[in-house]
Amino acid sequence: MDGSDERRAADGGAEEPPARERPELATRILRAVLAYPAALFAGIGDLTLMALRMLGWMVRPPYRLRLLLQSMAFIGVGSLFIITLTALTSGMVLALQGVYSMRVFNAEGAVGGAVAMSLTREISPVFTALMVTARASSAIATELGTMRVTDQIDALATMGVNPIQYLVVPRVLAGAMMTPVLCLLFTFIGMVGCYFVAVIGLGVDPGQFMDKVGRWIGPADFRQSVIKATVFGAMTILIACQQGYSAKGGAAGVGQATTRAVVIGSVLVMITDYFLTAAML
Amino acid sequence: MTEPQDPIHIRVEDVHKSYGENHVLRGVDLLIHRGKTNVVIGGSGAGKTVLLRQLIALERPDRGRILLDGQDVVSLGEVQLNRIRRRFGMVFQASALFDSMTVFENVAFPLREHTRLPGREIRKRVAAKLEVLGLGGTENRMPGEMSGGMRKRAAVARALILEPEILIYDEPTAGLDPIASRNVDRLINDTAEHFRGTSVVISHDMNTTFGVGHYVALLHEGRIRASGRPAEIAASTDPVVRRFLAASGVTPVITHAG
Repeated sequence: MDGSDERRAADGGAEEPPARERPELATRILRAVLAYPAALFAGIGDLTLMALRMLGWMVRPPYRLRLLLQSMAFIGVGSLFIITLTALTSGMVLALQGVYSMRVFNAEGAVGGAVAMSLTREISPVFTALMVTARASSAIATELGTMRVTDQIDALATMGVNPIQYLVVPRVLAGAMMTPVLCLLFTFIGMVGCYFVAVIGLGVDPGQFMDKVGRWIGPADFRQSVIKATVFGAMTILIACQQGYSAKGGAAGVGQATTRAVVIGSVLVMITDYFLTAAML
Repeated sequence: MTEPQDPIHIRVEDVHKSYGENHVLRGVDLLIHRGKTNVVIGGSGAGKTVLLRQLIALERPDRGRILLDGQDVVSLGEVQLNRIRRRFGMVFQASALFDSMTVFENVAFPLREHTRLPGREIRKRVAAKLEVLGLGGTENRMPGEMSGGMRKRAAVARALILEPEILIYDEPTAGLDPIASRNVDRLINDTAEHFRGTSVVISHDMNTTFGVGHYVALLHEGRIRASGRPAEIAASTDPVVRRFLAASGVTPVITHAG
């Protein structure tokens, strides 16, 4: 007791309330509850700040084409297998569900159109973004996080190379450019899977199938698809970069950054999807 | 404390830095002498690394000035800072080599980023620098395949490749055994002789301090407690300095006397 009083007097803070006293229960509950929105707003702030810094450094030379191509290969080419696999199974299962439920109304011929519409507008962009998040975001958060905790990011800065420009800009650009490509591929492969199950497996008339596909989807659907995928791709990779970039606390900190990158990325893809859909309908 | 005889390269004036409630630097005044090896020594948590981050403009101090050749760097914008940072070469505690690149790519990195030299010239310069540091022929090794001492040498090669004015070592002997530590001391001395620039060594190792320093400053509780020639520090009557010397358990062996 005496010691703490002495220290406070020494700090010249005789008027200040005691620093180490346990606060009221109500205050503690309020603080605990408020911690969540506070962390949320802080997170949004950090992300916005990173986005602004990234945009600022994006337009400034030097433009590192080689790094951009490397990131495009990693995010795009590297995701081909997982995209093919998920697209094929999605198309197939949608065909299965579609044919059986539409058969009730004798309308199984429309399954091609229905699947095409749900793929282009919703399933392709969202699933592609989730796959990019699972595969590329996690790897990027781990890579940048490791670079952060081993001083490699500081080393870049001390060598007169801006780390945001060198590490974040090419990755986010590649995410924005490759996710829509993957998304279109997802739709195409999904339709192939759907055709196989519906036409070859369940005997839907191929003419009717193709006719409905052509009639039900148009350029507007693909526009929606591409816009969504671009936004999701840029967003999820930006989150991964931001989490990795601000990692701290050794290996455990890198692990946390990776988990957060995947969780926040996935959740934001779903939330953003709702608002983008609402805006574009 | 005697008047410094060597010209001043960096002048740190009343620098403060806090992280939240934690007031780490509480008014640091420090002179870095041109062409000499300047050691900043201090215990864990004294703020050594924080001071270093301000020095090389990785962070901005909350208050105070840092004058590099008389120019205040605290108020500079990000683009100008990038230019300023090129005048520093930095050897990080754990070397901080890019682990996705070979030794050659690591050392060539600053050249590729900041010069338009042809590939042949870059290869020549990197090979020469590696040779000087006793790393000839390691160009194609990955940092992960090398010992800590070799990584440190590669980090020095990378820091020196653009011929900076100031070379900074962060805790160069942390985590090394005594023999490896003395080898690093020798590396610092040889490098200083070879490159003729200003060296700054951040350390808590008394052997290193007296083995490499022309000037020594003791950082204690966020302020410079004592500074001067190594002999002056060794003979200091300041209780904090005495305690620090006694705790390290070494009789100072001073390499660079007055």
